Amino acid sequence: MPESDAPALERRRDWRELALGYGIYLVLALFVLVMALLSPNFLRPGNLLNIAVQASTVAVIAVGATMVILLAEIDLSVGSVAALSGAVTAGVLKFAVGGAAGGVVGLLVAIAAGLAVGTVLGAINGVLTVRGGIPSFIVTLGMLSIARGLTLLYTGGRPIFALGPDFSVLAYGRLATVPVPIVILVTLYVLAALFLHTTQLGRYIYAAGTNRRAVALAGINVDRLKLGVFALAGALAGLGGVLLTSRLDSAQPTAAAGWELDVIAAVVLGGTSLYGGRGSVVKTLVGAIILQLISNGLNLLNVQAYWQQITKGGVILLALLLERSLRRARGGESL
Amino acid sequence: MSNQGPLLELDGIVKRFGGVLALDGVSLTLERGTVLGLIGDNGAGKSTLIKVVSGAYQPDGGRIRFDGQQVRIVNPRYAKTIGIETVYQDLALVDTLDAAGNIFLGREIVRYGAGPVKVLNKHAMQRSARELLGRLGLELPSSGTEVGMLSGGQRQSVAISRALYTRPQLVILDEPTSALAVTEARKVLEMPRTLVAQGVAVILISHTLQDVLDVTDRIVVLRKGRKVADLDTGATDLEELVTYIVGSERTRGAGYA
Amino acid sequence: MVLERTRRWRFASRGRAWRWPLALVAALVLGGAVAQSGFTVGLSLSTLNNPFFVDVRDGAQQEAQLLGIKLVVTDAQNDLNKQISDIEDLIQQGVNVLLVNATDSAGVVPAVKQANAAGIPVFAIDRAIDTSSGANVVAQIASDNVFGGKLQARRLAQVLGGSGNVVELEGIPGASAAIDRKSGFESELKTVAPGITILADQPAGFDQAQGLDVMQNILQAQQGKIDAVVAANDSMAVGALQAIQQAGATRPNGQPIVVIGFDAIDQALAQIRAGTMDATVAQQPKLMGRLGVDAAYMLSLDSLIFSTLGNGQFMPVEVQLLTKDNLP
Repeated sequence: MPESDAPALERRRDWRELALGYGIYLVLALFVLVMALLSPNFLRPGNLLNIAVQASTVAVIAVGATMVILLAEIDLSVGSVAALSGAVTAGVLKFAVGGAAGGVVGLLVAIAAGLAVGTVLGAINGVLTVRGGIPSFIVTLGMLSIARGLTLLYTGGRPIFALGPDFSVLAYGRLATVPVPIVILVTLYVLAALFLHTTQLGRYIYAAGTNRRAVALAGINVDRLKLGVFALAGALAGLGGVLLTSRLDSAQPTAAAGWELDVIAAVVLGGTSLYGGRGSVVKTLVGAIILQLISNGLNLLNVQAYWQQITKGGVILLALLLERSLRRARGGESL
Repeated sequence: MSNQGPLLELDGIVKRFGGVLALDGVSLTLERGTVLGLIGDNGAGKSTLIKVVSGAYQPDGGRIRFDGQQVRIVNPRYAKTIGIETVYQDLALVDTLDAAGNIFLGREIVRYGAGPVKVLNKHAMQRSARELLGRLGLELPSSGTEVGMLSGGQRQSVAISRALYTRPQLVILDEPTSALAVTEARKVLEMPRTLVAQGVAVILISHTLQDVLDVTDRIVVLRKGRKVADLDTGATDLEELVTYIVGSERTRGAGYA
Repeated sequence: MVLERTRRWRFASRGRAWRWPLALVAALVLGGAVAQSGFTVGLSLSTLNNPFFVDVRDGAQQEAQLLGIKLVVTDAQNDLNKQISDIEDLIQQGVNVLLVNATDSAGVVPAVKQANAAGIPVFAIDRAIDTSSGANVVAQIASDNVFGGKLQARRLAQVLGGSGNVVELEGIPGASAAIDRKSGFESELKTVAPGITILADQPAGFDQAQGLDVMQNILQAQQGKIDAVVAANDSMAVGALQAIQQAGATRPNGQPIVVIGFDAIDQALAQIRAGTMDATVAQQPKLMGRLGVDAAYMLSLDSLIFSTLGNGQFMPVEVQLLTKDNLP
């Protein structure tokens, strides 16, 4: 490419970035518009708030999943890990720290225990992937089964419930007028976006997902980076599990089953490449919200059960197609 | 820096992969401010030798002296810290980062940090990258443009700038022209001389023997893991090199490259 | 089809249910010999990933202990392939009778045929085994889900007094329990309370989190119109109850929304005890497990005891409506 093309190139890049940046938001806007036309109740503030809170658990887990996928890895175990973390938090809260009598300290201990479980399982995923040389798809498929088994073992196959009003604050409390889950969600996404786009480690995550060898040759310990990201993904799955448990006021042994698919769908809808190196965590949040919006819409419109499955799959595919074609139309898919 | 004696001395380097002897006691000497050509057929051991020097492989035997000190080059990062940089055949660029991002990969300029989390100073990196490329007579592709969108020659410039950033004493160029168009390859071949002019020694690996004859001071030929020739470039020719590479008198006279 | 089956089940229930205790007494009297001969029952469960099947196992274990029978339990983790190898293993171990809680009605047939070939009698537990392709099943021991749905409808009619608006939460679309409970509820509601309208009818996967989300959404769409929620299991009912409490929703007349579930899990019983939930239908998984072991035991004493039943005949395990007044 001759040097004289540089300004033209720059202009084109701006277009492309704009399109890449806003495609998913246009899809979101379109969905909101369609739903607002179909259901008079959709735009009610209460309903919109519900959607955000409902999306928050999957969206929290999807932060870690985005980073894992940016590294061109995958984590299928997040649903099971979330379930185990939630169960451990509930178990510790109810049986170890004396439930409501344990006070704030007891609560924090219980939550820390849940997060620690998620972190450890995530770290094990990471160690097996980078040291064991097993593809993360297989490692985390194994962990999916192991963590679910451990959850069943720990709970004896029965829900742990009645965890007390203090613990519910996580899911139902309000900071000023904003629901706590939304505060957690927004804080987390701001931190994650800052981390990925302004820090050295964030840059390494993108770089290692693009060209692992180049990053290793630059003297960066990619194995340690991956291990850290898997551990972080485990911790965030744990946080998702704790939030879910708070929301249900119970830890279900089958909690979050199949969530790995919702999480990956949110990440992919957000435009993150399954081949690694490209993507944005903020758009993952939009992806998670779109998914929740679909479920919400189907309920509001009282769509029949069997049709819901068809519609849900169809709408996800439609959203993906729409996002891709917007991208192409507005800047060229030159990648 | 001790400015006497050779820059790099390899003494009896051995490297095995399982039962295969990839390097069988290779010794060579690189003088300061010179260009050494390293040639040989596929599988002769060129890449293995380079990886030993750049810290990617650990030798199973032999000694390395660099800048007058005996060294163990334990990893690529250590190689960089003592002043050895490598430009790989595939350039080892991260396509989704821009030029400055690649030049500073692994040694980013940071504003401040807490523990392992350090905030990048993107502005300072842009500025330094532009200065660096300017010193080499190159233009920085516009900031923010992913290197995946640059031409082969531009990518090459980025890769070499990255190697020069730390002001190394030795730059290894691994097949720098293999992926380039002819005109771009010409340009890149000026690079070893540019580097030498800045006081840097160069090891050049290439399949194109004429290029090696054009730009090097000495030439080392490897065959089946052994050094079979160590020649003054001015005192040899294409035909002799081919003979050493192939290792048989019968092929004398047959063209190579 | 469903109706026809329902009629048969009810008939079977009336005809045989009373015999269980009598047979058990007989069994206990005659029992000693069997216990000493190393009589072994194999119980292949589809999953222990569910309190219900944990109860089935517990009931079976208690009964086996009482009768001095050896019981071997396997857990297929909802994986058909694992269940087939589980059953093969049990056959290899030489169990005398097999109780199979199928992961899949048709899929498990090859393994059942192997047991048939080895001369081991097979009972189906909770989920039917397909007998149309030649598998021999002594009896299908299962809860009467259709009847449970009817009990929900009758309770609803009683509480609402014959008119009002109800939200129905279905289970996993396509699951037989979801289909049977829904059909029992809807058919009976038409009969006993044609004045009650089903305002919304949505799936929530037998899952508390989904029950909560779906009910939140429905509350937005049907604000102020809902009198009751009937859920095909308690997890969804408890989730729906949380949504109602969070939204502070009430019936149009200002009274609390009536919530009726199914399965009588502890979480729901606690709500009923507290008066926040109205009723649930109790399956009796422990009884199911117990009856499975009893049936196996009786068969070992008298190989003709079930011969009056056709291949794969349904043997219902009682379900009962639980409200605050008759909690266990």
